[in-house]
Amino acid sequence: MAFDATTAVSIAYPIGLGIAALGSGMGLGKAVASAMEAMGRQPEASGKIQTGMIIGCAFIEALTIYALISVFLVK
Amino acid sequence: MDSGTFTVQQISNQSFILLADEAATGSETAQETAAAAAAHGEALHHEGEAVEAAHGEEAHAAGEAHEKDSHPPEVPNFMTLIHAKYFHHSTKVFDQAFLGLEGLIFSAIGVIFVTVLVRRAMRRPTLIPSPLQNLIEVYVEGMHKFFGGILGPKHIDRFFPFLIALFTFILVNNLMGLVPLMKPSTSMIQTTGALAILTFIYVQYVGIKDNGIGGWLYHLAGSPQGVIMWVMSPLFFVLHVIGELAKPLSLALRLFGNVLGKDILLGAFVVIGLTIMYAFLGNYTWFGIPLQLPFFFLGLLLGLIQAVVFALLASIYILLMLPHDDHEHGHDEAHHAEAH
Repeated sequence: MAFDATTAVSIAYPIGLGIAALGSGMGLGKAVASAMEAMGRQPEASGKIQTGMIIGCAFIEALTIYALISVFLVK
Repeated sequence: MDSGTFTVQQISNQSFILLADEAATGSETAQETAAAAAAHGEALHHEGEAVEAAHGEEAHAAGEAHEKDSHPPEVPNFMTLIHAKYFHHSTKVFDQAFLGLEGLIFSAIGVIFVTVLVRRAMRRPTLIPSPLQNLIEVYVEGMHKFFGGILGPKHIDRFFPFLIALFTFILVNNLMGLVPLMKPSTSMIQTTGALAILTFIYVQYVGIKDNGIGGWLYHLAGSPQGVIMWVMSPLFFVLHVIGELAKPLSLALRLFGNVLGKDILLGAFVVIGLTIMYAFLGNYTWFGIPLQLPFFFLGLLLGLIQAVVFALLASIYILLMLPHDDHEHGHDEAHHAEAH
């Protein structure tokens, strides 16, 4: 198994994807945690908090999706 | 027979054609074509596999390997089935390029469906609405309230048609991925790129029209107000332009990645279902264990969320481009209206 570009890319892509997933996991955990806390403090506002949380989670998730689709765009 | 990976399109297309032929002729020839299909389907692997050594026909099959081999698995839709049955071995230009029309035809199907639905519902609007008219009215009023909360009542009537058309188009196209034999056209970068470019052009047009060209450039330069800011304004200008160009890119990639990811997820689980069915029956059929069913709910949720996010971001970009004192005023009015 010669260590050429294809092998290097095949090793690097999953590691990069794992790091992206790690980052988004931490970000999403923080976002949802603060949303839960806010909902606990003021239950009557939980509709708006939930909407905002979903939209924020979509943004954070998008960063991992960029990493995922870069795999499919190259190979 | 060794089991290897094979693309769902090949296996499903072969099995579909196999079943169509079986209905026309007899079942004995179907057995032979099943064996040929098995060899054909197994020989056309992903390049890294070296399992084809056992089959004699693999030279013949590998000779007509199509370039769809290295693509991630996707569930076949009615256009790929038509292509496999009629156009596969033809050399006419239209038949070869038939699959390039996928995005166009599926978007057109979505648009025609929505148009026919709304025209039928609003043909004779009555004060006590029929169920279909009620549905359309609830939808439009809900969207009006949602976007009105962001844009403010002053600007909402001007931008509402664009935003609701964007939202409906993306929602219908995302949900078409869940209908069997259809493909979401937003899973192709062409559609989402076109939507993002359209939004970008529209936002810049609104900026130029409302602020004037000088005002638009002033806004892009960061609205400098003192000597220090004027000196730094070229830097702000460059940063702002890069930010403005990154916005449609991120819009397109977010929608495309989410919808294509869900499509690939469905395709991978369909392949697993077909493989399990093959292990049971020892032969290829066109149905397998429906393991991909739980992911339809994920597809529903993600399709809806991505449509909301796209339209919401478009409305926020429009809001940022409008003259800023009006934007503050609109927010206050909206907050007052919501507090009542």
